Amino acid sequence: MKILLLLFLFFNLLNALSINETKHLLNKTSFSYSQNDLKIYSKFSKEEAIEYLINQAKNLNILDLPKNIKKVSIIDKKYKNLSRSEKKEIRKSQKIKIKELQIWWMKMMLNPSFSFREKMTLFWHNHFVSSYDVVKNPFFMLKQNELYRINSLGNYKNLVHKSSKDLAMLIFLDNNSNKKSSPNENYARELLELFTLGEGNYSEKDVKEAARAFTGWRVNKRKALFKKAKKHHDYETKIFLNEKGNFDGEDIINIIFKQKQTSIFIISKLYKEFISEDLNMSLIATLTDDFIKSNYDISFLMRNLLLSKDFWDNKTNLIKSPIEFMISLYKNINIDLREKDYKYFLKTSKVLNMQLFNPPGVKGWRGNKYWIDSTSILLRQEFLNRTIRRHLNKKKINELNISSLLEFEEYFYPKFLNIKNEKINKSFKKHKHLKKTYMYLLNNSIYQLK
Amino acid sequence: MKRRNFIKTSVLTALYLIGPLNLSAKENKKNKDKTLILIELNGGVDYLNTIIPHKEKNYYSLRPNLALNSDEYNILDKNLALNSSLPFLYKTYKNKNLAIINGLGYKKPNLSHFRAIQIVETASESDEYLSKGWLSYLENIGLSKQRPAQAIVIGKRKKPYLFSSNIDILQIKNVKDFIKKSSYLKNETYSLNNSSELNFLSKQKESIIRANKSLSLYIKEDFKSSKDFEFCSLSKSFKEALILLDSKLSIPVIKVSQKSYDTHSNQKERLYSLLKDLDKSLESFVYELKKRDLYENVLIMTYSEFGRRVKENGSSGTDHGTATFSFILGAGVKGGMYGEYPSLNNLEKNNLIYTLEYKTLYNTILSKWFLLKTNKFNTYDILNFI
Repeated sequence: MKILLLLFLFFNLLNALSINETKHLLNKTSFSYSQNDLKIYSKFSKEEAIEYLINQAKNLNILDLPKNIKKVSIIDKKYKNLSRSEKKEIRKSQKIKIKELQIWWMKMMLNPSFSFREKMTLFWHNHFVSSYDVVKNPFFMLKQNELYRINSLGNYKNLVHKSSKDLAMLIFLDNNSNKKSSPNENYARELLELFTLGEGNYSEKDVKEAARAFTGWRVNKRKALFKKAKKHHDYETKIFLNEKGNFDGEDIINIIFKQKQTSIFIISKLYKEFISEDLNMSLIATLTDDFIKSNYDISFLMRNLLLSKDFWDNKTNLIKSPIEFMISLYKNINIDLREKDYKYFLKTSKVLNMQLFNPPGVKGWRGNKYWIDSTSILLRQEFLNRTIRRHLNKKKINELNISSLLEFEEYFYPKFLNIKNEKINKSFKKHKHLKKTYMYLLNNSIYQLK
Repeated sequence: MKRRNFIKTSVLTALYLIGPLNLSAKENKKNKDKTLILIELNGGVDYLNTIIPHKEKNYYSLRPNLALNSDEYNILDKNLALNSSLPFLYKTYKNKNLAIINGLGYKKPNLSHFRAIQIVETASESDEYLSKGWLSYLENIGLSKQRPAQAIVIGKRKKPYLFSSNIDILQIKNVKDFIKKSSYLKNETYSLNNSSELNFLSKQKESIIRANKSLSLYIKEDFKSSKDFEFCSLSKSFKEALILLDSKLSIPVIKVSQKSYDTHSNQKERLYSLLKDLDKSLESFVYELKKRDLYENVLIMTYSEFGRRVKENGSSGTDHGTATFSFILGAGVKGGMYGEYPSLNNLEKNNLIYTLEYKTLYNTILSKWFLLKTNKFNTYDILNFI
């Protein structure tokens, strides 16, 4: 009996994640890690760790929402009839609300128990894109965010259907003014090009026909509900992807889901997000078949993706997005944020072109190398230095308990560099210029990788 | 005196005696300091309401709400007119200094913003994906202390497809800010060879450090302009371009951009105010360049991913379209109309049919402005505006 128990423990240890594997997993799925996170994951095997992540992500608890969002977003009187000063007042309070929302979301990203779910929510935000600058309604942006969060590991087909009726989406891509007498193609085009099939997998004629099927899909702004305006809907026959019928928008999405390409497209995008930009088409083909068999279960797909050899073998790295970069620094040095920090976070995400709820265009943020140019490198450096200067006091440094260059590398860098530098090593021992040393080492490009 | 030096001196003396020495020095300077200023009109600018075919019946029948009234444009010639939001460009046209390139496009036009801009910037076929842009030929213009990069992109931070990976591109929002912040940057001490992302990051850092050295040496501390450059993001970008041009730096391409031309709804007001910003920005920019004797060194060109649909949509806007135009101005530009305005009687799926290949425009600029030999474009015509 004892021997069995020992054997069991032994095998468990053999299977347990190494520190590098844990870092790898959390860097890619959870906006980085703190020392405590590393401790928790060290007892898990790969399978257990991924199960743990997925189960956590299915928890739908959220932090308290900013107050009065609905009140400042939905105005009873017709907006047009308001006086200039009333309009100004509303715009001002909406601007404050969207900032509160940005911080609210960022706090959830920082929370380790929401982390993977928020990573997926951010992924969907960057896939079915809408921007506050166009939608101009904080409540609708929140509703969309909730939709993506609740379905972040749910059913993909369902998610596409729901996003087509999402209020922010209807406004963002002009479907709100898509009517039979003169169709607006904006939503139909992006649905095919960016959300489901990808460019080159449909014709211009398909775009036009799909646009007709979505005519009359509207937002009831006062009630904050989706509605179908019958008098603006085109009830005549459409021909879409070689099928002929009296299609409504739902039919269009169902036809889209008959195409294998729809699954290949989204899986490729997830592969790029979590593994590498260099696609492994044979793995993607296997994942696609299983995904279709599972009836588009995203959690099933993510489990397969994260357990794949590519995810763990993968030798390439990706460049952290601005949000990932900032949050990883907060998490790594485990700091308590203050009012001032939130403001600075908002400001930096703005200048680094990654404002939450406000991607720059329908294609979203492009990611990886596209984050880097001469301006962004300098801004990242500035953020890092200022945050360290503000927060890395003696107490914090002691808490981190890092006493050599080797330990620094092991904890902060996504890869082991084996740097040999006597001067820096001495600095760790003496605790003298430690702040400067941290700044210097974290400014190494490798810290920008995940 | 060595023989060679003696000959050089005698030739120079001879040239001086007959007069054209100054001219040839100036000529020489011109070639070296040539800059192409690109203005991307992002979102797909509407061709028909910028350069208006005011005599065409179809213009009015297909755009019952959007067609401009006669007090909303200025007549250019018997067929075409310019949106009245563009008084400076109108004046420049009248002074024969503005070239309007008509009917730009390519076969099998693509109506996606993202794909179309890629096709336009790489001069590819509609179904061809190229990694090099039409300005990749600038690889042949080497870097130096005075040329820390072949191209500087101001403001917008989306990467253009115009160049190639061998070209050093700086992205700068504010020149002085850039100098200040980049002075703290340190070279990488360690790097890994097996990560392309890491190498990419280190390389980027190196080029910033190099640029910092040049810019802090050449950029003047006391830049002042008499014109206002603070009224929109485009004008702010022009101010930065001006600061760069006003130094002894020699940058072959400076790119700025103006966004929001994707006017699916309320087009009339939106296009008017966008074009007005463009016109005012250009006016200030050109004024300051002339004042500084720099106008000779620049060629200014606008471009956009596509034009917009001929027929208006139901939201008082227009959807994505095909053929479009380019404005080109500069001291040496021979103004006028180039290329043929597309017919409104012969449309393809409600869209204009292009009359001029982008490659013709690119061939003209590369060979006549930059004096570069190109294999890709040299079978195309040359327009006569330079």
